Amino acid sequence: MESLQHGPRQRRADRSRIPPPYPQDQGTDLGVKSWGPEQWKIGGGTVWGWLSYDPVLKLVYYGTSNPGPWNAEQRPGDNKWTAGVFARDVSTGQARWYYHSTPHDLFDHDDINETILVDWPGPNGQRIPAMLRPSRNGYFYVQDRRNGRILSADAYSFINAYKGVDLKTGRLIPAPEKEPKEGRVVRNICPGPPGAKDWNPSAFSPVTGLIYIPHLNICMDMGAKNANYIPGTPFVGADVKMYAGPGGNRGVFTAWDPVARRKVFEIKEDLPLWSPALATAGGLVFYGTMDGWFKAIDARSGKLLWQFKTGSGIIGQPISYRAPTGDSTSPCRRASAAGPERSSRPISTNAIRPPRSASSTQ
Amino acid sequence: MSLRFRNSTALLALAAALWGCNREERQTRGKPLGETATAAMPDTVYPGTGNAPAPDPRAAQYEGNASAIAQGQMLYNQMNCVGCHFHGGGGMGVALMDGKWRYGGRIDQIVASIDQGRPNGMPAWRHRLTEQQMWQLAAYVRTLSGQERKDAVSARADEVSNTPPQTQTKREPLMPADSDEQ
Ligand code: HEC
Repeated sequence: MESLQHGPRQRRADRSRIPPPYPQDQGTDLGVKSWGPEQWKIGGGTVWGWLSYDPVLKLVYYGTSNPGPWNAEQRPGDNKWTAGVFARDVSTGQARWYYHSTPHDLFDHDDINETILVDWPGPNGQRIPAMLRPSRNGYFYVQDRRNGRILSADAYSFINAYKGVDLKTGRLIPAPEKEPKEGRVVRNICPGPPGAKDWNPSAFSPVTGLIYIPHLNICMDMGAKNANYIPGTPFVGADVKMYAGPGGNRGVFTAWDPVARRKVFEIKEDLPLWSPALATAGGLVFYGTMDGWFKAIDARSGKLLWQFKTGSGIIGQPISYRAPTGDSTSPCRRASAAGPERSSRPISTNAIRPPRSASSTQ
Repeated sequence: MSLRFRNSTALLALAAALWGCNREERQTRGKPLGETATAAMPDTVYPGTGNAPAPDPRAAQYEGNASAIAQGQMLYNQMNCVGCHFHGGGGMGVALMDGKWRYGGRIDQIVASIDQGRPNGMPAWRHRLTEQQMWQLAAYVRTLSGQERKDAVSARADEVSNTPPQTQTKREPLMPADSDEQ
């Protein structure tokens, strides 16, 4: 199966009006040249995550998945256009820019997570169209969405598989001691294959200015071995053992301040968090756990205000909407409903309110 | 040293040699798979309480045979069985280390599953593997649930190991799967 992300098709993109921000992403036929011979044809890099659209810039944003096989020794080079993020002109499909978050990915760190479009406070009071990306590799990227340039990239989770992001070159700094080799098992690599966070999207609240990230605290031992390409079977070439990272909890719910570039609070969850988050104008944030608890927390303090045990683990997207008032006498009564996976009945949460006093103390 | 003792040592050595022969026996010229389906590979999928077909006599060549199991172990990695079944625990594919078989756990029934594929996502390997390779794989698959002799299984796993090798663990009775699948 050929992947249309790669190969000569990208040549047009490379000649776009605004060049990609960093030298490693500029040039022609990089989707062919950054691989061993013919490997781009079987190299993965699919699109299975979120798309965002900017109606002013008329650009569509999305990330691409990991290169295949996981055994990176079999695919020398940067392996474009995998594990990066694209901005494309919505009318022509032409790439405006591309940023390679994880060149030559070693650990299945896809880059398909959500891109949240925000107005960013620029230096002289002007507003920069920016995007927020809590990435699989564990860095929280703030990027100028006109050209892909990184404004900041900070670790929002425990990372030892990389040593940071070089803001001058835009390049992820690898940790050579964590590189799996064929026939050698490397222990204690963080984050593991699902990354510091997987596909389940975070929520940005314009009320608090915080982003609420449901994510993972999972590390791994990884051994690489030769993978054969057999259509219809997994092209992996790695053995992985996953376990909880530092602290022993496998899930984390982090409230992150993107401007101050710091964590505001975090809630440790025993099980990995695979539920998306929802932030409401009423100062509440919702998420669910794999053991079926649907939770409402205070958006500023993280205090648990309410929880409800559903019939199954929660990995579905909570949504909120204003319900018809019905026999309600309260004129501004807001109703939220959440649809946890496999639950046919929405849960009415209209009685939950963040405590006014508590929200001002934190 | 008494003559009697010497005799029994010789006998023991002979027995060990014979036993070892069986364990190590290797068919270097397994018959390749023909262009069309072989009649000797019966479909083992049968409805309800229907009776399993008569065992395939070739089973004796592969069951408990160390070299067949070792070859199978190698193929299990090389053919990407691991990507779906992992090292027995299951993932996209069903677990192969429990005592529960959807399509039968006899070695010839496992061969049939590999050869024909199975409807809920198991690819058919006919024309991709030789018949001999499928029997070797089946011999290895049976070791995942501890059904093969300890002196025939490999002492060393090929993967990152999370558990002691099979040669150092107690043989335990097969446990049924935790929950009924589907
Ligand atoms: C693409 C994923 C995939 C690959 C690759 C794969 N399997 Fe399977 N396998 C499955 C699934 C799914 C089932 C269950 C099929 C069903 O129930 O119909 C299965 C079923 C089986 C069964 C029958 C289990 C039972 O309970 O009766 C055996 C035996 C088996 N596989 C062995 C293998 C071997 C050996 C290989 C490598 C040569 C392999 N599989 C490769 C997905 C896979």
